[in-house]
Amino acid sequence: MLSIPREKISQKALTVWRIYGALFTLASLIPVGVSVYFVFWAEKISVWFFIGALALALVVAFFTIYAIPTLRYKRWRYEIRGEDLLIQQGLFIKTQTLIPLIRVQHVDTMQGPILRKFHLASVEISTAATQHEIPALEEAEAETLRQWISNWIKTENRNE
Amino acid sequence: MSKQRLHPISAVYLSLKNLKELIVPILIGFFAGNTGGPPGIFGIVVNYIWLAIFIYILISGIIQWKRFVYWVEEDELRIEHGLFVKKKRYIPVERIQSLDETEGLLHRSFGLVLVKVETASSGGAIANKAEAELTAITREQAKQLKKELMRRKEKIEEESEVEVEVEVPKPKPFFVMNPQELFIMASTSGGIGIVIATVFAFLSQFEELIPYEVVYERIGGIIQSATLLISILVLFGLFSAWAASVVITMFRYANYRVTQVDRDLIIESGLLEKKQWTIPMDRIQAIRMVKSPIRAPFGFVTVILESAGNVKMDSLMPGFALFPIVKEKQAVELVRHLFPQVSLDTQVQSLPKEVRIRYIIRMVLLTLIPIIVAVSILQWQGLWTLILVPFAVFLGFKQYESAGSYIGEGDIIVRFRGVQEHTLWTIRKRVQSMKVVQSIFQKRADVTHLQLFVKSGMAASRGVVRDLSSDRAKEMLEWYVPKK
Repeated sequence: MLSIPREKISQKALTVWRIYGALFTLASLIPVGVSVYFVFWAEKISVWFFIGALALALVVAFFTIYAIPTLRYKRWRYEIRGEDLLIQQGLFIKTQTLIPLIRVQHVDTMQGPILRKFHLASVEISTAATQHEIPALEEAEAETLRQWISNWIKTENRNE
Repeated sequence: MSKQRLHPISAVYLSLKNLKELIVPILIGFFAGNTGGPPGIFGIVVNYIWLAIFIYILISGIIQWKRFVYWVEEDELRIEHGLFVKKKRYIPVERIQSLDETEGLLHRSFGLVLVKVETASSGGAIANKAEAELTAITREQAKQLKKELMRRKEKIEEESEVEVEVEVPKPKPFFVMNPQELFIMASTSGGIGIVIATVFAFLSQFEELIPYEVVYERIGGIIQSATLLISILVLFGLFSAWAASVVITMFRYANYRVTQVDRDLIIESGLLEKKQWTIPMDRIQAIRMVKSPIRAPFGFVTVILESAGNVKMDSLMPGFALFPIVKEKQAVELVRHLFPQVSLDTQVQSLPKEVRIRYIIRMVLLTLIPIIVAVSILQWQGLWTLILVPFAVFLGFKQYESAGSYIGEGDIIVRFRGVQEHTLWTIRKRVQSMKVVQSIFQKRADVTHLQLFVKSGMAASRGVVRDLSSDRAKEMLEWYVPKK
């Protein structure tokens, strides 16, 4: 559709997303484990049920920890092309978003505990109506991007 | 301008407002403390606390009213108020967008109005509500304030001599909803489609679920008459709900009129509770014409303004209904009269025939979920849900027919249908961002979804064309961000 944006996000994003995936797997395992335990004792069902649940957990882990982050990282790109920002994301459904810099109202950088540990930050770009996020950039890179867009808006406003 | 007070009735309103803010803790305290009454000294203390809360609510409003003053000075609207802490709020005149008046029942019996001061939001991320609210002032005061603000505003804007204000008679409204239209609108708004669908589902359910012959042989007509009774009751309930919604809507939109004063649109409506909104024409982001399947056969459409700012007209409608119900021809004419550059009857470029099947399949896929659920629960009896499929095919077909786009010099139109058909007109400057979304399957067919976003109130409003050819999408993107 549009040309593929050049900039990739930080390589470390992969690690961060894998951590998220592991946390998600753990969180979803707890209720599964509990219910399996009770069903197992109450119903005296076969051991296969237990094995099946375990297999399911492994599948979830494979996807959330390995497959999805890998593909997502490969697809996630952004680029400032002259006077607009182009963002591309999505695994099986590719989304490209076009935001003219003139429409940008403000730019925030955000950092949760996990991102901070890896010295990463995400950048949130707001127009009057929409919000767009570039996740997991290097701290310095995120700051530069924020500064750059802010300055661009200021000079543009002065020229108007 | 001298310092102005609110009308004493404000004390009542402000007290009620304080009560509303305290209602949750009060209820919790009431239910928690009502365990047969706490004994001894503790009980007495609790009672005193209740008394204190009661007195606080009573008096707080009075104090707030006494402390509240507003006046215009040095090109600012100045408000001082506060219960414990004195708060000053000075709003520069040039930032004031409009004054919106609302009249509650209490207001009307005393000839008062509630005035909300709308400011241009400074683009902050936080949704600021109306910058200031004058709970109740006399009509005379409201008029004075408006005059005062207008005078200053013009002085600032033009830096020239201000002419002496002459009472200008209010121009004639250019759109008035007549009773007949009001009734059609109220009776076709929202609910009715759902009501009809529910009734159908309900009746067919009984045909399927209850093996009448068997029942009839065993226990005669008892069950049958019972189901009949229940059906009648349910029908009656649905009908009453619908009738109530009709009456409410009629009260709300009675005397609906739109007047143009300079560059402002003034909308008035309501029978018991009169409401008035001011929409600066320069803040309008997009214009949307909506055709609902129920009204379209009668030739009626709704025209909605997407405006920046934070006033909501009606929780049921996005944006501002400029014309809640109007004949399509008239709508096009009136909009063109207001905004000469807008033609809502522009021919849009439809989509190629090849994608029609995609629209139909998409809708049919949606029906699979209820069908699968029904079949898995009711086995073969669940198959009656297959009746949904022809409806889905028909809707998909209609969606394909509606879909289209038009690219002008600086303006753009997208037309699309969910159940209602939307025609969204806007200009390049007002499009906040554009998105192309393409699945693997679409890539193969070289088509893509295109979305555009405009500001509406404090949020976004979306226009979308599905399964657009990639070339057309490119054209639209290039219209949006021209190549230098």
